Amino acid sequence: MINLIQILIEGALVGLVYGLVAISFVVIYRASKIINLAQGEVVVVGAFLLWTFTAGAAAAGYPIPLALGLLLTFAGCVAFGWTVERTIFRPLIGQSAFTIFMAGVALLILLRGLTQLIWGAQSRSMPVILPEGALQLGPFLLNTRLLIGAVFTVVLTIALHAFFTRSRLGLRLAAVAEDHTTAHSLGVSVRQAIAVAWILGTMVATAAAVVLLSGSILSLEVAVIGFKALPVALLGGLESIRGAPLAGLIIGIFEALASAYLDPLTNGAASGLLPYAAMIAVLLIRPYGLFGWRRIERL
Amino acid sequence: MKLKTLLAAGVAALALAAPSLAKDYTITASADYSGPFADVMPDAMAGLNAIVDYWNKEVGEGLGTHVNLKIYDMRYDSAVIARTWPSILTSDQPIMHLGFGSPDLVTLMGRLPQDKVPMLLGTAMVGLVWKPDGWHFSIRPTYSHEFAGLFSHLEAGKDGPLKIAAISTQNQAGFVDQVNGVKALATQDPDHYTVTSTQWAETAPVSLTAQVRAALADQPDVLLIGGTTAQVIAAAKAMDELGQRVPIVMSTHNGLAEVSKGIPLADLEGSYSAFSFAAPEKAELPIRDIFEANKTEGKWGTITAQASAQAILALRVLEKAIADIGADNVNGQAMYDALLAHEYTEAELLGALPTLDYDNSAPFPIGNLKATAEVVKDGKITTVQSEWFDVPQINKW
Amino acid sequence: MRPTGIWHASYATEARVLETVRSRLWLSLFGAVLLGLPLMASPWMLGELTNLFITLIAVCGLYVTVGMAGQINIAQSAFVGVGAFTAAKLSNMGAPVWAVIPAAALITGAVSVLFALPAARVKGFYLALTTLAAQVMFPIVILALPMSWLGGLVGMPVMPPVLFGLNLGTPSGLYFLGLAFAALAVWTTYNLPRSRIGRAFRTVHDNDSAAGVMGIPVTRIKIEAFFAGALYAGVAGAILAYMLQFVTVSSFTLFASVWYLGMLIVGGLHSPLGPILGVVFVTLVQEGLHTAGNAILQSGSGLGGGAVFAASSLVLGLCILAALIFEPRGLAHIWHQLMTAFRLWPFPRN
Repeated sequence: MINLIQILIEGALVGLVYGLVAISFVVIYRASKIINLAQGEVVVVGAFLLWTFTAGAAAAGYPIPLALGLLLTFAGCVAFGWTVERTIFRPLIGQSAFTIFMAGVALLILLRGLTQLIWGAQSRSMPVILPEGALQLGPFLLNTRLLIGAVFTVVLTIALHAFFTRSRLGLRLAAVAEDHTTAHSLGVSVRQAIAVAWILGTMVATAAAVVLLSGSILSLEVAVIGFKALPVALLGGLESIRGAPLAGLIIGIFEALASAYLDPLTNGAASGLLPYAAMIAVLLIRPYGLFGWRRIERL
Repeated sequence: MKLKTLLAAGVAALALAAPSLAKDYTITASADYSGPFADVMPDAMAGLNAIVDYWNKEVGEGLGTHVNLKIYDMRYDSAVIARTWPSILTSDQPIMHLGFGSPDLVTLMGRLPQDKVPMLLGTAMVGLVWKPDGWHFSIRPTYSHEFAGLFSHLEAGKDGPLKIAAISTQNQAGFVDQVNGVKALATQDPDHYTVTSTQWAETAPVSLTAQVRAALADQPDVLLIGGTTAQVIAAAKAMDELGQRVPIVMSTHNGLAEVSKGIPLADLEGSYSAFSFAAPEKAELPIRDIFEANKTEGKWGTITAQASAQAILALRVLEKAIADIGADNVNGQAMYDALLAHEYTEAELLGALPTLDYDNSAPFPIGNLKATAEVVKDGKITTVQSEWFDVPQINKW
Repeated sequence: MRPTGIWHASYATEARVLETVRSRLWLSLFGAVLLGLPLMASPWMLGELTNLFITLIAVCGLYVTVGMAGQINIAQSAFVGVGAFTAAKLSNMGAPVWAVIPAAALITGAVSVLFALPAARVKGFYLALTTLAAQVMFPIVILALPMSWLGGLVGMPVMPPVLFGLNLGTPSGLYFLGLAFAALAVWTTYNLPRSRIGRAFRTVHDNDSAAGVMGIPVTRIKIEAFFAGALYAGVAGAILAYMLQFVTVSSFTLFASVWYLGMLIVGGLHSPLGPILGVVFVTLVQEGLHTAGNAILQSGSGLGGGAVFAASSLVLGLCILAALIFEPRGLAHIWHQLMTAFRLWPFPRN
């Protein structure tokens, strides 16, 4: 029993990390109606920025205090998000959702080349930002890095949900997610919305990179997390900030259970397949994800 | 008039560029500058280049031969290899190909016997392709053999069998094969080795705590992780968290040199990386001195040591082939024959490899296999012992 | 736009793809060059061209699913993989090449239907998720199956294709095999939009609610779009298997699927010319950069190759973006504009 609960706890903590990356995905969609296939690459860019302003600067002989390094990183995220909006998505305003999806494909390939060109393919170590070790809670152990990440995810979810449903700016962004042209004609600045979406999205992605990579190793391969998070975001519903962590929990727990109980019987296939099977099953029952907007279609 | 001067200039240029009397041979090599091994590739190719330069200067001149090393970026992609290979055959007519990793292996192993070009890999073999009569060889036996060498060393003088827990990735054939080989060893010799469990994890896991907890439940003596660097680091962190410490056994591509880029070595105290070419920091290593004297770029390290070992074996094979059939007649077949016919001693190989002997029964050295390992001691990477370990016999799995 | 002086006396002439004698002549000339090429091209060139043909077949399939029917498919590479493994298995069972390729196509089609079935309830980007699932599940399933079925961990050797006692496994043999099927793929891609089902695809693409109202069975059409696209993927996979001579799951990655999509966008999503131009252009850029990289590597200038190779991703990404921003109809549209300008010259095009 204790073992089972421990597995559930660990699955949930890992799942919330997927959820955090999924939130960065949802934030971008929720504010700009952009399905960003390149979210994994954005996480990598955020992580490289972080590395540059912490370990990288120190290695180059300019040690920066951690707090300032973080601040610079987030400034870098703002610059990155703004650049993406200005150069890629602003010219595409008003294009079909399909075209914008394809721009995500392009961004994926572009960022992959760009990170390799700027930072090189070497793997490098990330500084320890979140405390290492584990918290003993009765008979259970909780990884502090993931626990902080989980708490952060939950707080962020509540904050972003309030932002999108209560604040004036957030509501305006929601209008953009509904339809670019309509929003535009109602006087909502689509440009501003997309810029805000990307800046927020990159920041959340970088926060995810902190949780994911603190004290670990950074390589271009980290980008695969994006394709773990994409299904999580779809499962939760593309428009739902609250859906993302919940879907993350479901996927994380499913994966942990499969890995503990089914993998020994299936030579490891179960933990790879089950999350996807579960997602397709949920989508068949709720075609717009758990909390996605049900779009009413008319001719 | 103009044409004539042009022609004259052309002829002069040709005459200047024409090779001296030395017989030219081409050895081709696969590189991966844009795939998963892009980060270590400059050092690897530096190793090949330095050793070939050394050989041309010191040995080739005396034999009246010159070796051209042509490096192709194969992107670690089977499709690129499959379509580049026919053109390599016609334009370079290589006498040997120096391969890198499993894409080279699976794509070329079927073709080599018809094309009459032997391939020498620097990466370890996998049991999956352990078949007779191939033209693909590795300077190293399988990963499992290398691990077995270290395990037999660890097991010596121990009461009861060595308990091994493994962490691997289910969708990576090579990684699963490593575990299968070690399992074969355990079934064959249950008195000395046992595999307590295999845990499956992603190549870049968010956390390995659950897997490591399950693995440690059986109180293993070592934790075998032959997969990725990220897995080793995640496992080390998970053990910190669980407050237990079991030595991790890794290979070279995810070995101590790579892992130390990610976490301080102090966190890996007592962990091993097992392989079968000379450890780069071994005291007394002639090949290292030769690399340092001939290099144009790159740093000496694990991957450089591997590439240098690969190059020196290829060149020694060429020497034997020349001795067998003369400096002007060497081709792929002659290289293949020379590789199988002779034994290559540790001294000939400048200490880069143990004494090797090949035959057509397996794609790796036969006879008494040797391996070595590095360990972290007092926060530093050192060789476990300066002598090679004997690798126990493993039946084909 | 049609050149002046061309009018049609019957429906049959109007329905022709190639309307003028001159365009038919040009095409025959082009065909003759392609057929004669193995006589003079180097094996390297033949290898590159064969690869281009295989990619073209796969991207033609993607054009049908994504371009015509508007269903996002990010698993084309996995479907190519299904085709490759089917071909490997069948060739090991002794099936001849003329049976292997159609069978590979049909089986791949059947597998794709499995992942298109959720289309009955799921729409749009949520449907893209099921193709993502196909891409992720593909290697796991192959590796978990018993080794005697599909090679499992090892992968599978492929018997060389033999047709009428002729070994097609040589560079020129594979070239002709690729050329024949690429021609077939292009021919079908050109004709599909003119057929009943092709028009149904288009309608579903433009507005699936409207399509339903007009009496088009939307779900069935979506599934058929996946099936049709996967047929091409199966053929591409089978030929790729013959070229690789040994198939392993590691050749069929998600990133390859993304590249296929990229090629289609650069070429143009709305014209059957799109896949052709996109594949040719991207292959030229990629292999050009790669050749340059190899040359730099071998010149021994000590310059690391890594930067050059990273550049190829960068350039393709920029090309796709440029296509999307400045010409969303892709290279195909630029081509049509150039043709029109050429025909109307010296009059301005308007």
